[in-house]
Amino acid sequence: MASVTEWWKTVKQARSIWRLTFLYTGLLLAVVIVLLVVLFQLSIGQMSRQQHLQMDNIIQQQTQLAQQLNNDEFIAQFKLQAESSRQYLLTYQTQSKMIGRLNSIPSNLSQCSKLARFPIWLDKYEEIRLISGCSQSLPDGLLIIAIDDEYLYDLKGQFITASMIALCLALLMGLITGLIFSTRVLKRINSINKVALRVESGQLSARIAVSKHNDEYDHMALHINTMLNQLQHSFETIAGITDAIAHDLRTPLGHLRQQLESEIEANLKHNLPSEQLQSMLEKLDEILFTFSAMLELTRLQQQQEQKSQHFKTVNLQQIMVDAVDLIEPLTEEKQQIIKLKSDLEVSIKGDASLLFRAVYNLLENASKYAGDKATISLQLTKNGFIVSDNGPGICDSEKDKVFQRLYRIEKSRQIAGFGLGLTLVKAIIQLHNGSIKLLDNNPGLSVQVEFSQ
Amino acid sequence: MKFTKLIGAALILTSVSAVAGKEDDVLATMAIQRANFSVEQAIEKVSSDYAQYIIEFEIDDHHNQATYEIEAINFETQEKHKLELSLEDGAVLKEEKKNLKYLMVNRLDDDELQALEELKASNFELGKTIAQLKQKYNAEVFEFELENEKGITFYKFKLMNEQGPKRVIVDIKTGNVLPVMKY
Repeated sequence: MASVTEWWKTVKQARSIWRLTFLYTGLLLAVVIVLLVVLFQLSIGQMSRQQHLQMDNIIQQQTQLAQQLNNDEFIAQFKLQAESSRQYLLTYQTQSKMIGRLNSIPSNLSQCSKLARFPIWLDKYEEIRLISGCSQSLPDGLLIIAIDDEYLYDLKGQFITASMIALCLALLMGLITGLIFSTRVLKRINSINKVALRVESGQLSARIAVSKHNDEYDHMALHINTMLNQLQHSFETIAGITDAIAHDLRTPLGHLRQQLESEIEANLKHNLPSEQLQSMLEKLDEILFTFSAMLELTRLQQQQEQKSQHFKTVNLQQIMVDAVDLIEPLTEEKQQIIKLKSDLEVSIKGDASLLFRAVYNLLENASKYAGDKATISLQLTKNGFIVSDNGPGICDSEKDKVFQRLYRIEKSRQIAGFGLGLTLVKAIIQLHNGSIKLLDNNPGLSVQVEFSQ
Repeated sequence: MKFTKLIGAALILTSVSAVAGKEDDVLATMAIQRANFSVEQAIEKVSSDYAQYIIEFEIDDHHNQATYEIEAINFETQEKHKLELSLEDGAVLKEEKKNLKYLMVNRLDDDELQALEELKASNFELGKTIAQLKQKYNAEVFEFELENEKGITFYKFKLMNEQGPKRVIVDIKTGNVLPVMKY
């Protein structure tokens, strides 16, 4: 089963190559077929048409003569005509006798000008010949005209055989050259795609290899690389500014926090009201938390290569059990039911604390937004895990936006949050070469996480 | 001079052999006319007692006695029979049979095999056809064989009447006599 799945994945990847190959081969075959049809019509087709035309002329001539002459005169001229005509076998049957080349009427003869093939016996050569002919009713008898076109049929057969061989060769050539061409083209496109994927997962230093050909692909690679250089530079600048702001503001904000705490303590000692100060302290903590989260996010998004070097084997099952243990008090408070399905043993290379945060954040989000008495489920899968709930869910138009920094859905603004949770989760999953998808749980939301390692 | 003599001798021999061939045909016809056991009876006997599908028939002689020499195929036993039947009483004077396959190779060639397959598949009645030909041409059938040429399977009959020998070809698929090109 696993091998079939692998095969299907390979087939899907190779589909573009085959699509191009088939298109190319199809065009090549179409050209060959058109050429063969034209060749046939100009050679054998032309000969066949000429024969039919001549036969029609003879039929017309004999019909006219039969109308103009009396029977004896007609028979006399017919005998001469039948004896002199070597190419066409002319026979005339009256009520009493047969005149001409054949001694009897073939059984499956059709009305002129529709030709039928029938065998005759040649006494002289002791052999069977297959000829084509038809019959035409005349006032006093039946005219039979036939032509020995066996060579034409043989020629047709040879032409068809040769055409089949030509088509097979064209098919083979088309497939081979098309495959080579498509593979070479798509190999370069795929290398660009791979780099784009690496950049998407946070490796901003990834660049497309430029070949010596200096062709269109190389020009495109150069443009993309230049664009990536600028992008990396911008990111580094933004990161630097963010870090600088964070560092510069954290210290005075820290001092401010200490002062607030001291003030609260002093107020408490003198039994003075401190609610307003407490509220200010909470707000300040939120600002500090947002700063910390943003700094961490920047680090996660930019330091993928360094981070992945320190990854260890992590048991996902254990992480899920721990995350559920930690979230349970929160869910109990909201009378929510949390279900854990973790029958599988799944291990991945990663950072246990980051993965724990990702799982916990998703459970926390589910608990926060699914509402009271909701059911939350955490299921371990072969390649990752799924967190689902039966809450209100997220509409399709907002499923991508919720991963943006500081983005918050309109209807959830009354619930506490900073719009960084899912962004952090996505960064952690991407750091572990994984993907995250938001799907409808009907009702509710299902968050599907898959690791490719 | 010597060369001219040789050509002359060859021409005489050719004409003599042609006349001899015609004489044989006449003798064969005469033998059939005098026979107590008819061609149809001989065919019936071989078909029912030995092999259903007759591929060749001619008049031969066995110790100076005219016989019907008949070759027939039995598909069930995969055997080819060659029989000589007395024209007097239909007694079997000589009998030979061979397996159709020898060292896994079929003794019959592709054309013969195709002819037999088509004969097997057709509703052709040999005895009835011979009777019809005899009546139609007022002649004696003294030789015939089954052949396949260009995809057509047919019996090639030799008949003799007052006008002389005549060749009639019957398509086994349709049962019709094929037209003959006169000149």
